[in-house]
Amino acid sequence: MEVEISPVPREARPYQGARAGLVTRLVANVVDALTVGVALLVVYAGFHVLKFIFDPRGFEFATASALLSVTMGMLALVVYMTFAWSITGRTYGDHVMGLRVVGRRGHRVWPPTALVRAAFCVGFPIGLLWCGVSASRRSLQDIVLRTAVIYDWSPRRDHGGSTVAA
Amino acid sequence: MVDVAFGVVVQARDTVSAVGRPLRLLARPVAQVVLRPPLVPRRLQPAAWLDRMARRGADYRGDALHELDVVLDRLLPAVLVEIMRHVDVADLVLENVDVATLAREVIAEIDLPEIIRDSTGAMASDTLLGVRMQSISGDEAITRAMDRLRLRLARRTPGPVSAEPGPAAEQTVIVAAPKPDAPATVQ
Repeated sequence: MEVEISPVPREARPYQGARAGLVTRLVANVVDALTVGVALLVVYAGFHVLKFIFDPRGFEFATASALLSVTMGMLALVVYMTFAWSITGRTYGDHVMGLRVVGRRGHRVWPPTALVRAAFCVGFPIGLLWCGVSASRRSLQDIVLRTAVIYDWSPRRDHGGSTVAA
Repeated sequence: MVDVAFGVVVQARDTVSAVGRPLRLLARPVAQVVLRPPLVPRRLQPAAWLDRMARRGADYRGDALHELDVVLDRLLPAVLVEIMRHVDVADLVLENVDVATLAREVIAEIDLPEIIRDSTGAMASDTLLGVRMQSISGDEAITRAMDRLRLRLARRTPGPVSAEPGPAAEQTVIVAAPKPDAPATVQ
């Protein structure tokens, strides 16, 4: 006899596997942007600490143009999202908000799909707003790439019985 | 046959009871006279002797039970150790009991993950749970608002309205419920 043990809190179980809406996804994206921003700041600070250690007399803060900084930040975000979606199906923001990005059949997205989706999301973030308008809660990125973002509070994809029929 | 046997037993009981009642009535004064004969000092009466014997027996019984307890306390552990040495209880249990299923059933029944969540890191998990549930409520609110807007547009515009496939085409079931018990699920 197979007994299913769900690690998901009782009140959240009805939502498992359902497509996530605009608010949750927005919050997750903000968390991701903050995460990458903080990571870049840490790298920037670490770089200057090393620079100071090796050449304290000639130390000065490196300056970069706003365009370069924004581009670097967006690139970092794309790389981060690509790895996160193709490896675990969720970024840190998704993890915090209990979301998971899945492919057409509810499986984890392929790395090329994850890369295109990440670039699309970072380059055209306003496309996310369509999931608030869409009856099927799909952003423009989801419609084009046939992906979905679902509520999935279970730690693993195959645990907790969350499924989606895209 | 069983009913006949029961009938016979019940009849025998009634007969014994019927015969016994007058006998008891007859025996009681006789026993009274035998146990407490008149004109015999109280301490020499058979009843007094019987009382002394009863008290002594009760004392002896108490002592015997205490001694038996002591002996069993010493003996049983040694015997059980010997038995356990010869019998592999773990193997016996594993052979006869489906431990995995039993454990799963128990965990599912008591909802162990819920208990763990309640007992460990309650503050953090409660905060996270609250944030997630509130965001889900926000999602539901937006879905309901858009649904109402779609309905309003459909009433104003004759014929098919939405450019995008609607809830029916997308197999979307939207349940108007502000509480998480009845979510808007997409299946």
